[in-house]
Amino acid sequence: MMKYLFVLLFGLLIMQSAWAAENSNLDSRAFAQLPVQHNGRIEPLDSFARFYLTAFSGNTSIDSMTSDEWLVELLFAPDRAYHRAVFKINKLEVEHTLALPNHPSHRYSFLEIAAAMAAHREIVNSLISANPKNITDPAQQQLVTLYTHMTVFLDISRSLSLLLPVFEIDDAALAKKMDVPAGEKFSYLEMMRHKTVYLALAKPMMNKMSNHPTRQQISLLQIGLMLKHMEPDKQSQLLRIVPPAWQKDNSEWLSPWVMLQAGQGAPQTAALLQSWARMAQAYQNNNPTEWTAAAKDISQQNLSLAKKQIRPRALTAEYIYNHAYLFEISFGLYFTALLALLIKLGARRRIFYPVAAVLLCGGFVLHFTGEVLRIYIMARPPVGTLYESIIFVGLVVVAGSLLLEARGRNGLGLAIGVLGGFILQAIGMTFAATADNMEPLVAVLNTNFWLATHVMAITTGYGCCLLTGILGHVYLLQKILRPTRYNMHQETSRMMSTASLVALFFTLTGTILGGIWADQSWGRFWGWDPKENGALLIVLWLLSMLHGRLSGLLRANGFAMAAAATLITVTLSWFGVNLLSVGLHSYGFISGIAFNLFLFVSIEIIFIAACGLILRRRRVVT
Amino acid sequence: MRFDLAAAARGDMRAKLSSLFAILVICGLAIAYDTWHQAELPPTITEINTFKMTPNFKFTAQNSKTYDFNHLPKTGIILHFWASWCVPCQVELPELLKQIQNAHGELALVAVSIDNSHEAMQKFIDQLPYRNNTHIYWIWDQNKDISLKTFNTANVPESILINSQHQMVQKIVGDPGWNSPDIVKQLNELAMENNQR
Repeated sequence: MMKYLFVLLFGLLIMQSAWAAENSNLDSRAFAQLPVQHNGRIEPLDSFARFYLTAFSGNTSIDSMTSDEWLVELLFAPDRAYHRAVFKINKLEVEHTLALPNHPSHRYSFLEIAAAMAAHREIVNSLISANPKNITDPAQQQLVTLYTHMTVFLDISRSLSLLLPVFEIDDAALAKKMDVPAGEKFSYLEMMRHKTVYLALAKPMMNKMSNHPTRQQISLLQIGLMLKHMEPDKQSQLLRIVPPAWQKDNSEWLSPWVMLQAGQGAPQTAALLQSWARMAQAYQNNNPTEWTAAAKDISQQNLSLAKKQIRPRALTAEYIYNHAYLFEISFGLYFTALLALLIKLGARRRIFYPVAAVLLCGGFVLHFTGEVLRIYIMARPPVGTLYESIIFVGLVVVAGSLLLEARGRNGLGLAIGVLGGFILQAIGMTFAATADNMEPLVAVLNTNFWLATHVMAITTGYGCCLLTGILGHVYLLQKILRPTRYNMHQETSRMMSTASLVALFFTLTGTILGGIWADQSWGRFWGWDPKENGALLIVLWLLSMLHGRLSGLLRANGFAMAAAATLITVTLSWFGVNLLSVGLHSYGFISGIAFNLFLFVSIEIIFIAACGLILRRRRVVT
Repeated sequence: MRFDLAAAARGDMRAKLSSLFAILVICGLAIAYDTWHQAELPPTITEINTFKMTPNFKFTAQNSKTYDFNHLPKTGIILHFWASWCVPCQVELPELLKQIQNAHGELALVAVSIDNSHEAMQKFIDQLPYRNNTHIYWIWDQNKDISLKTFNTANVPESILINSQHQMVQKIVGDPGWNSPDIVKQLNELAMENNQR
C-alpha cells in the first residue's frame, strides 16, 4: 500500500513540474512546443531554448525566467535581451583581458561583452583567425568560445526581426502618402511593401539634404537608417522554423530571413509568417488570447506544410521529458535509498529495509519512464551514444538487482541495485552536462534493427557483467568479514554464477550480432577494431571464468576473484575504447578519463589481490 | 519448459534443451523480421506530391482590365516575378516570352513586376519581343500585394509553374535558362496536361 502511495505521490510531483503555470500571463507552453529544426532533427522550441541558454549561461533558467521565457524575450524583444546578463565567463583571465567590470555572478550581457570585444578587437581578431589547434591556453579557448556564442546569440536574436513592429511614422501626411496608419508601428515585411513609395519620396532627399530638414525628411531618414541597420539580419539562419514548401519531404527547414533570400516563399509560408507576426504583435500588446491563438495557427500551418516530419505528440512528450527531470529525480531516490541502507547498517532498525526498497522501486519506475519517453521521442532504441548507454546499463543493473532481491530477499540485491543505480546515474549526469543529448545518429548506425539487437544485447551484457563484478566483490567481502556464514556464501555464489551466465549469453549474442552488422555496414565481419576486441575480451574472460569453474581449476574463491575482475574488463572495454581515441568507435582522447580509468583499474587489482592473499592465508592457517 | 540457464549449466538436460530452443526461436524471429524489413523499403519512385492550389488574387493587367486568377483559362501558367532593374530578369525575359509564343496558347504567363515606377516597367516591356501575346498578363505590383503578401516572394526573378488545375507544381528561383532542354521539357509537360484533358 505504502509502495503505491509513494509512486502516486511522485507521479503527481512530476506532473506538477511539467504543467505548472509559468510566471507570466503569456502561455510559454504554447510557444515551447512549436517545432524547430535543430541539430538534424525536429525538436520543440523548449529543447532549442534550453540548449542555447545552457551553452551561454550554464543553467536552464535565468533571472527567474525559464529558458522558454528567455527565448521569447530574445526573439520578440531583442533590445531588452541584449541588456540581460546571459553569458557566463568561467575564467578570470578572460574577464581581465576584456577589461569587463567585475560582476560577482560572472555573468555579462551581450552589450557589455560586445563593447569590451570592440575595445580589444586586435586580441579578439587574432584569436578567432588563428588555427584552433594552435590555441592551447584554456583562457584563450574560452575567449574564442565566447565570441562564437556571441555570434550565435546575435543570429538567433535577429531571427524574427522582419516580423517585429519597429518602424513608425508619426507625421500624418507622410503616413498617408505611404499608405500606413500614422503613429502605428509596422514591421520590415510591411515596410518592404511600401518600399517603392518610400524610395520615390526619399530620392530627392538623397541629393540635397538641407541644414534644417523637415519632419518628413527626418522620418524618411530614420526609416533609411533602420533599413540599413537591418541589412545584416538577412544572414540570420539558426532558427529554422519554416518547413520547406517546395522541396520533397525530409529536407531542410529554413529561418524566415533565409527562406525569403533563398526564394523558398510560397502562399503557405506567407500565412505562416503572418501567424508569427501576430504572435509578435500579441507579445507587444501583452494579449494572452491572441498569443495562444497565433501559436495554435502556427502549429496547424506547420503540420499542413510538413506532415511527415512533425510528430506533435513527440513534441509534447519531449516538453514533458525536459521538465520532468526523471533521471535526476531517480538519482535522488537512489541516493536516498543508499542513505536509508547506510542508516540501516548503523542503526539496525527494520523499517529501513522497506523504505529503501520503496525508494529503489520508485527510482526504477522513474528511470524506466524516462527511457520509455526517450524511445518515443527519438523513435529509436535508447542506446546510440555513450550517455545513453550509461543510462541504459544503469536501468539493467537496477532491474537485475530487483530480480535478485525478489529471489533472495536478503537485502543483497537491494544493496547492489541502490549502489549500482546511484553510481551509474551519477556518471550519466556528468555526461548529460554536455547539453544536447538527443542527437540523431550517423547514417551507418541508424539501421534500427541492428541498433535494437546488437547494441541492446551488448549493453544489457555490460549491465549483467557489472552485476557479476559487484557480486564477486560482495562474495569476497562476505568471505573475509563473515567467514562462518556458509549459507550466505552459497547464496551469493549462486547469484554470481547466474549473473555470469546471463552476462555471457547477452555479450556473446551481442558480439556475434555486431559482426553481422559490421559485415552489412562496413563489408567485413571482424576487423580487430578496439571495440570489437573489447567485446571479445569480455566474452573470453567470462568463458575462461566459467570453464575454470566447471573444470575445477577455479574453486569458489578463485571464481569470485575472476568475477570481481569482470568489472575491469567491462570498464576498459566500454569507457576505455570509447574515450581513448583509437579506432572506429572512439570519441577522441580525453585525458582526465584516462587517468581515472588507470586509477580505477589499479585500485581494483590491488583490492582483488589483497582479498586473494587474505583468503589464501586463512586457508593455510586453518 | 524451464528457461533456467543456471540449471542448464548444472547439466539438467531438459533445461538445456529448452534454453537452446528458446535461443533458436529468438534468432529465427530476428532473421525473419530483418528479411521482412528489407522487403519493406520504400519504393524508389518518388511519391506523388499533393500539390497545393494557387490562392486566388485579383490583378489589373496592361489593358487596364481586372482579372481573378481563378477565372483565367485552365492552361499551364507561369507565374513570374521580375523587375526591370534586375539584370538576370533582363536576360531571361526574352527567352521566357519566346517559350510562351511557341506554346501557341497552351501556356500563359502572369508577369508580376515589383518595379518602383510604372514608367520604368513599361519602358522595359516596350522593347521586348512577343509582348503583345494575348496569353501574357503584365502586372505592376506596386504594393507587393501579390509578390510579397500572397506569395512571400522578396527577391527576383522567381517563377512558379502552375498546372491546368491551377495547382502550384514547382518553384524556380533565379534564371533557369528557359531555353535549356530540362526546362523546355517541363514546360512541354505543363502544356501537354492541357491537351490530355
